[in-house]
Amino acid sequence: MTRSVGWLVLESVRDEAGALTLENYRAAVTTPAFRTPAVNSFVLATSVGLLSVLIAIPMAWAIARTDMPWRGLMRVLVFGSVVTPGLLTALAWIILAGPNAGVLNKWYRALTHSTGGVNIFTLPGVTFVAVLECYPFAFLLISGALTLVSADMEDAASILGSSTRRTLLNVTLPLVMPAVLAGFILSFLEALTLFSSPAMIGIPARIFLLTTEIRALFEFPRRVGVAAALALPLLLVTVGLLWLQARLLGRRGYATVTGKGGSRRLIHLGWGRWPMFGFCLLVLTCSAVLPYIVLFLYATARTWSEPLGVGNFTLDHFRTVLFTSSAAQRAIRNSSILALTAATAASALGALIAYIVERRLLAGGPVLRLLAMAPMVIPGIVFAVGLFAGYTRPPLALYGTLWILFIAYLTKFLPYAFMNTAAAVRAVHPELEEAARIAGAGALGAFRDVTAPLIRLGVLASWFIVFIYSLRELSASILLFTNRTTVIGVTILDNYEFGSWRVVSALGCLLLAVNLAVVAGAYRFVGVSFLGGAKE
Amino acid sequence: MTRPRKALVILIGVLAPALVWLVASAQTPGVPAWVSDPQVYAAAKKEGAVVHYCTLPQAYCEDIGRRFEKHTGIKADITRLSSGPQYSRLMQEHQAGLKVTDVFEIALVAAAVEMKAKGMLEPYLPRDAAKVDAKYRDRDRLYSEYYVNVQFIAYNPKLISAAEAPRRWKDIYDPKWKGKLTISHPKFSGITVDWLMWQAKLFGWDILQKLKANDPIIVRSSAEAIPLLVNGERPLSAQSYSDSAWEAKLKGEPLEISYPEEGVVVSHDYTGILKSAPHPNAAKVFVDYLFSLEHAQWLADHYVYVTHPAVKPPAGFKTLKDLKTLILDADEIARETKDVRERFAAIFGG
Repeated sequence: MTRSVGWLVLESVRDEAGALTLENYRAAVTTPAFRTPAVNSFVLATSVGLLSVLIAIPMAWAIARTDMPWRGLMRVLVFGSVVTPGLLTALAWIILAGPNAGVLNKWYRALTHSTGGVNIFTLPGVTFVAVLECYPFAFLLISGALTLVSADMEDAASILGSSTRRTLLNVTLPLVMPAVLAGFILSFLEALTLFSSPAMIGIPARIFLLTTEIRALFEFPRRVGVAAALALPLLLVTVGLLWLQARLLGRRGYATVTGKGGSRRLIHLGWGRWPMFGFCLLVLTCSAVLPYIVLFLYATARTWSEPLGVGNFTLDHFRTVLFTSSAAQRAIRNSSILALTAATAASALGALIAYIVERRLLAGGPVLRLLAMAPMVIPGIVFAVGLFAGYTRPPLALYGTLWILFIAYLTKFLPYAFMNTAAAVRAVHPELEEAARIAGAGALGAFRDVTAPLIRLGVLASWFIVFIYSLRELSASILLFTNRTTVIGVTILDNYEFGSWRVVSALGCLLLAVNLAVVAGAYRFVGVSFLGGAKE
Repeated sequence: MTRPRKALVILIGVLAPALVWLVASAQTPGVPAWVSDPQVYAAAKKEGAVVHYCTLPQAYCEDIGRRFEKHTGIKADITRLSSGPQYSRLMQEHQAGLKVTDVFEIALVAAAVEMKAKGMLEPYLPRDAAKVDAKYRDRDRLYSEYYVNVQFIAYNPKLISAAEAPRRWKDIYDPKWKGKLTISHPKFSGITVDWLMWQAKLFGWDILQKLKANDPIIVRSSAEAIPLLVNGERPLSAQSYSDSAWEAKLKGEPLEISYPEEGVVVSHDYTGILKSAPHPNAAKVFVDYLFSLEHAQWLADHYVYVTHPAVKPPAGFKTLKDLKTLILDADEIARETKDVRERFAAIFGG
């Protein structure tokens, strides 16, 4: 990690011969070809961050705390949205909302006999797909926090005569503010470093964003220094946001799981259940239901331009992915191995760092936090180049092995594990440990018997998140994979770029199936789902 | 252990390896006819492996590797990497001082020329490559091409009738194609550079304004335009190319090819050996194989435009000999690449 950042700083002030220079920064700032993408990227990220939080707050509240119908199904659909790689969401929406042949547009025109409709190849189109990709991050954080808010304080408000709405606005929401902020930051950063929708929808619409520009600088003509100079401000923005978050939240206490018991009750919404239900369903239909329906139909249609039906149905593309293509099989195997190992390592390491930082066990906690968080904002390719420089030469000649991918995934996804566990640790008041210490337990014993069980959910959530993201990782893999160590993300991109949308769709459906199976299994055997809901 | 049994053990110990050796050597094929130099072949067998970056579709890469290994017993590790990422990877390896890749294959002409200038390439010309036309190889023998990308016009016959379809490059600038066209961005697609150069040579640079007036969708590689075409999203692709268009057509998707009267644009896809190749001899034998008639015929049977003059095309497929071609010199493309990209970006952004 440190190596990547160090490399980034160094490259940004070096010219090709290795001499010190500020030329890269001058080029990055003065070239108009970079200014527009930079502005576009910040506008996009800010709107995506805000919209994500605006969608996630009511959804998380309704699903976690109210008696809205079909909450279980909603959780499954949220899960479906979380595991969907951005490339698949973008592809599905191109098929759905392409201006000429989009399925939705064809329906709309047939129904209204008009020529109107929507066009995905526009700035609102890119923003829309980016929000679909990013809001689940905010949702997970906020819903996790809402599940932990004890009803005590809400009850106190009710007793003092506050209405449900006032309690929500004045008590519950302020209590989950840290999660809301973290949700905004996470979706903002995610939107800033997105690659699929900018490349697949942005470029066709002639909207160029920073990530596609940075990646192009690694190709021909190669201008790594300029890429580093463009990427460094992204890093500074993250640091600034994290600092701001710490400042805003630092002085107040947000421990909600205390030694004083407390139960959580569902809030009765009355007739308000139905608008809420409609809203959640609409969002989830856009982010999971429609995309997977259209991907499945697309993967099984012999010819998309013909009407669908028995004669136009084929499982050939599933067969290709599962049995014919040895590259796809290798990719599935490698990705599975990497996802399992990276998830285990990252959740363990994330929990350790989170505990150290939150409980201030060591000096330099904030530095540790920063190091754990930084990989989040470095564009995947810059990050991979740093790894490449660090781990391909003796004594660590890992090029061409799964190890280098493992290290990449571990470093890249550590922030997610860290953020998740840190939120869980923060929510557990130290008084619980202190009580255990007073009762005679050692420091380790108190952790083992009191804190560990309480943050178990957070750690498990980290495991699932890292598992899911590793299974579909692309931006670092693309620079590090070789024929033998190819992964699912690379296979999907490769097929997309070659125009094999059918194979991409089939792979996407299989990816969803694998994810669902793993999570269903975990729910069954461990008794928790990563969405924060414990088995009832 | 008694003496007879000991003798038996020794006998088996001596005979078994001898037998294995005999069987193994009987199965080893002789030197294939397409090998340029038997001594290099012997050395290549000792190296036992070759590492190649390939720009053909993944399924072809797998097959090429299998067949090469069957012929020679040399393991071919082939990774499909499109030109941009491949160049990025090669430079990355070069700067890290890694010796991992033997043979590259790249459609970004300027990148090949630059690697040549940087002294990264090993000169080599297979015996069979000497038969291909001189315009398909570097005069200093640093790279040559066993196949090329042929760019033509493709359209969706369900939405555009054969009578209506463009017959000349000139026709794609007709305002009637507004909102129906796809083109590629030269920053992401190497072969778009010389396509644009030809358009400008034929009609002048105001083609860019005319293209813009037709409101095209910009894709990163022309292969990405194929699904947009067959789905009816964009029924006309101004620069479709060889394998991806043919693949869709053969699968029965609605796609027709129009060979423009001015000629098809032939774009280079160069293969060469790196100086840092860890298996220098196997690399040469592998390149021999890529240029062999056997391999060329296999590719032609899969509708790839090969440079080998002796292939027999499958029915309905025109080889390079049957087509009127527009082709540029690599150095000229390399010289103009930056300018072409800037001109394009000034109109379309990026």
